[in-house]
Amino acid sequence: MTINNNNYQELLLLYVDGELQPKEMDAVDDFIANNYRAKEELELLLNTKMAALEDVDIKPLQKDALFKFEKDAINQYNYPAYFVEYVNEALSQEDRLAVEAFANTQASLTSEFELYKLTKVLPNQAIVFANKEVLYKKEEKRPVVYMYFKQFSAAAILIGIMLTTFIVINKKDSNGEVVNTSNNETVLPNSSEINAPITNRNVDDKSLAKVKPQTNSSNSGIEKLSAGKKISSKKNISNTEVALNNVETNKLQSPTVASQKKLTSVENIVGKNQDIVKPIIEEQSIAKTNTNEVGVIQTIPTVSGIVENPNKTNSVASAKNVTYKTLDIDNENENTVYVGNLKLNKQKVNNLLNKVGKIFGKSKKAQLEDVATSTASL
Amino acid sequence: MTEKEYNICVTSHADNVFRFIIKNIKHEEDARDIVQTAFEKMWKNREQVENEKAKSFLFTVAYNQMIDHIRKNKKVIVANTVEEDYKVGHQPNFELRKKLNEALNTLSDLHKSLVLLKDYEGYNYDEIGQITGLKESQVKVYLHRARIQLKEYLGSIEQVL
Repeated sequence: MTINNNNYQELLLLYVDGELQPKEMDAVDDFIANNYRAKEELELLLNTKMAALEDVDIKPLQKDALFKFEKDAINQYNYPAYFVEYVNEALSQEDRLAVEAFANTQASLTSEFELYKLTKVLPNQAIVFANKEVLYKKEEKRPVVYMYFKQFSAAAILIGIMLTTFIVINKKDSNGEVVNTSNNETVLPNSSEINAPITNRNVDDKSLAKVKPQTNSSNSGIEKLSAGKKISSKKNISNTEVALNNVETNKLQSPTVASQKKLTSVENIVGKNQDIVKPIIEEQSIAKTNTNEVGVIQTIPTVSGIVENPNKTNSVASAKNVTYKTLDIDNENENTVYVGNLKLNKQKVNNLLNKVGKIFGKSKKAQLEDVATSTASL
Repeated sequence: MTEKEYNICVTSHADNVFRFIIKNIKHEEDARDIVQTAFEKMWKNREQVENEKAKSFLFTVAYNQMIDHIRKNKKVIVANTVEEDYKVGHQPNFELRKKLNEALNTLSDLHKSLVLLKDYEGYNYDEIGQITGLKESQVKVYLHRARIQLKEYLGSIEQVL
């Protein structure tokens, strides 16, 4: 191998890295000895090499922790671990015996073994938790179902009131008392003048049969009368309506006198018109129910204009005078309301309806409307 | 766990838990609070806690409570320790026990807890790991270091005896 000025630098790098063969290294040494410049370059390259960690302050690694030994082989290198395991009671009985035997082999090991055993901390029995009563517990026996008595009792009372009212009303109806709730009229017979009472609802079949062939207006008049509405103003009965309006002004008078007067006026009108007379119920009476005239039943002469009565002086259809009982409660008790002929306290009824409305979730406005409607219908 | 089993636990384990805690925090009232809290938690969770694991549950809860307490009161100097109240002189080898207690106090909180769980209650590595939230191998290593430290504090057997 020939070293010259062209290749010596590469060989110097290999020399520093120790990559040259011994013969090549000798050749480099010979070349350096004869070449001062090459020698300086080699020294510079050798200085670039990292120094050994001799001067660095690093503690030597404790290799004891890295040693690994077979578990069953206690020896002079691993006995401290066995001693600790012995104290920690983590050894089998066989291993414990082996450790004890090993510790007894040398006096120094025995004393060290005893020292390890002394590191075991024994509990101080004097330390106790005083007053353990604060820790004892007793389970609370909770009821299966919580009863909310107030709510239940209130609901039961309300339901009881509603049921009682319902039963009483039904009982009254089933007793056969004539209740005309649609027209707000209660028909009471007046035996002195009329053979049989005629109500708008209980119109005699015979009378109806007779009404039909004579005129259509009378039939429609009956229907409208039963519906509690004003009878349509047909020309042939317009005068009759006017007359009956006049009759209404006498409603506060005694029923008999008023009915006689009305009958007279009606007969006169009938005589003039020579036509069928219809009973009329003014809507005014219904409207007035909103002004403390709830339950007022007007005395309206029911005229069976079809029935001919030969005993009467007028040869036209005679009217049977039916006397209605007027229930004028204005002067008696303003707080009384009639459901059929059942006398109820108006305030109580309103309260009951309010409660029912609350239960079914109606709004206050709707409740008031219901109350107004119900009282109006009463 | 039934009511009866719970109350048996109180009788059986209250002293052990209290002893373990008071040796760590050295404050009687705080130790009592921790024990009470641990039992309260066990009472609330009695339907989930099996009777066989009640003691472990108690120590786990008490240990965690104690760690919280130590963290909160780390800077508080406990002036009134209970070492004087609970004399170690009841035990044999008074001087040895005294020195051992001193050595115990030189340990870190974790090492001390591990030693106490091991020596007081006799838990194995796995159980101590479950209570303290450590791995079994960690418990083993920490306990090993603690023992070595205790031994070095005691010095030679001749000095101790």
